[in-house]
Amino acid sequence: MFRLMPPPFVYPIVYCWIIVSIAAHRPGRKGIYHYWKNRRIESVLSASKNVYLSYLEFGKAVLDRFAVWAGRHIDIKIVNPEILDNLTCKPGGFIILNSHIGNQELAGYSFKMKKEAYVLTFTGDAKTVNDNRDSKFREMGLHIIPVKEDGSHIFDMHNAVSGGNILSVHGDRMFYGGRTLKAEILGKEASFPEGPFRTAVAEQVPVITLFMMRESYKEYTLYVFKLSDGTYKGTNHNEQAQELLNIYRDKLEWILERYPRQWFHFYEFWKQ
Amino acid sequence: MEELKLQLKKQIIEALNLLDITPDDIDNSAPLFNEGLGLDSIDALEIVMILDKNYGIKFADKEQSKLALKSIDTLAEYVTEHRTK
Repeated sequence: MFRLMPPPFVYPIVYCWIIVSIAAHRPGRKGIYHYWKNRRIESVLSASKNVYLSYLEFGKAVLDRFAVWAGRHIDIKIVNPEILDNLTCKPGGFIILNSHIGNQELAGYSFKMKKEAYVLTFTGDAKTVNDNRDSKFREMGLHIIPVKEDGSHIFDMHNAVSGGNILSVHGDRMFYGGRTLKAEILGKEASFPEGPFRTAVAEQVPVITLFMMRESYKEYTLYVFKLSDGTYKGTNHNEQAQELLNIYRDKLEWILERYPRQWFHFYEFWKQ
Repeated sequence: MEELKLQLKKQIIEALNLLDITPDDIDNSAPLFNEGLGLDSIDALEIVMILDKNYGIKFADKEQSKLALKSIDTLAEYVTEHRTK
């Protein structure tokens, strides 16, 4: 379908989907409302309007993903491309700390890196990926590492990085065991998963973050930020993980100032 | 072998920043994870790093790796058999 018509032709369906989603998904609606009302200090009216617009932005981002997956071209402007170039041309692995801001998955579909990338994913997500998007992932040099209850995914994670590849993990959602780190974001303390940050400091490799931000259905900006070159001021891994989290948090806040509607945490992030 | 076990314990304590634990507190045959020393998958990654960095060990077989990380005894046996440095 997306090969024949641009995504805006499907927007009326998205508008209807959003109304149904907002009505049906109370926790998501409340979570995003509190983000606008309490963290961005909006009025009730403005926060309510932005709940709808946030869902709309998310719906469009999902459509764009399907469109690119179906073969449509999008223009991507890269900010700080030299960071990616340097890391992908040099030997040695590195870690990408991802987030649920913008259209992260689209970045993976849109351009092939010069190294193989291993993406840590929920087991449920991994099954969907395997069933539906396997060939696209293979084409782009992406491999899935499913999170296992017995923790055995850590061997794959270490092998990926020590083998000179890219390891991609989410730094902003709790699915990696129960241990957490705390950091204040948008004026209130929130919990972050400790695993990705401890992994990064233990591996002592460069760490970057990427934000694939939607400008229009055919135009995206990919922001690349270096978070660490693999060295830290802290004297132990606990301190170093917190140090890395604080740098990551600063980048989240920076991008949210510019694209507040592309915050795609549809739950009570500050109470997780 | 006993010297290697002591060395492994010291390296684990240091890497995991286990401030209140001495090598004597870790029973060689007790499980390192869950009910034993109470370590989890995040700690496991640190141990995998220690083994790679200090002994040149790469874990290719996940089932074998899980068995190796069961206790200090199994870890020491695995290191003795597979170390490359």
